[in-house]
Amino acid sequence: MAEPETPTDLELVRRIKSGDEEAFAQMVRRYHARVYSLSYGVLRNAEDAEEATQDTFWTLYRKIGTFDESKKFFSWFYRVALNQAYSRARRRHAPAISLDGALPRFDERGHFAADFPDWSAKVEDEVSARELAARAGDFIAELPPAYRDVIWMADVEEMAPADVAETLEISIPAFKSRLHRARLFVRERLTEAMRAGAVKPPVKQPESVAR
Amino acid sequence: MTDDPCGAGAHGHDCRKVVLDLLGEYEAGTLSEADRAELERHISKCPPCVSFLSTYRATGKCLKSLKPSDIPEALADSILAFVHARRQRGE
Repeated sequence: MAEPETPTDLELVRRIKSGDEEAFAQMVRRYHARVYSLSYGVLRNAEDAEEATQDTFWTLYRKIGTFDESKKFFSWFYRVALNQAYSRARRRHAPAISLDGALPRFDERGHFAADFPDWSAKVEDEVSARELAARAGDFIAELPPAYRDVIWMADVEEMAPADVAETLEISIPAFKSRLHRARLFVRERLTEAMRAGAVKPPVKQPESVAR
Repeated sequence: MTDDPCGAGAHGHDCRKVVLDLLGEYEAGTLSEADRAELERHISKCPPCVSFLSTYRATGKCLKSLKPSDIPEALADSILAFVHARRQRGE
């Protein structure tokens, strides 16, 4: 028996506009995990992310009539999701940070101004990698939203550059520049944490008990 | 580290140029052939840039694991119930 064809986003949008409840349910099943993940990137809290996801789909339900069908649905919808998440996040006061204050420093010859540890091997250890990832999440949360959205979508969600740029309505060069600066920031903060011993080194397990 | 850990010499790109201007494009595979060759020449002679590249890549690896894997199981149902309840209330 032939598989039923999966409807495109646009087909679902049109059916939702005409009042098709099943099409809306299908859209929820298609996008709920991605919207949740995007919301989580902004809010860093499961309960808030879940509520923001519900609000996002409620907005979709009410505002789908305003969606311009010549545009890509997901980029419009992700902007709805980001707006919902940020309106929730604004209720919490986040201190502004300076991106330039946490970038690598160089001397007058253009060489690194200070020595730094090469901690890259720690990502191969499961325990250290988990701790590093948690810290990286904290550092992403310190970024200004314009940078945070880019690094979350590109490096965490692994969205294609063109899709991130379209969703955020920025150029590809702006996308590349923000992504690189955001990565430099997170790398620098992880390096500082490593230097301060805030991330534990891998604990060597004897062969017999190692997982 | 010695006084001059960068062994790439005075000509060509310095570490600042490599790290701030070129590395992002290099990792994306979108650097021009000439810049790519010069970056690789620099890195082959510069231990700090090797460490920098390793930690830059390790950062990317950490970030990939941040995607929430524990999406609430009943999330899709809770969204539908939420929207349904709002509609019932005539909002």
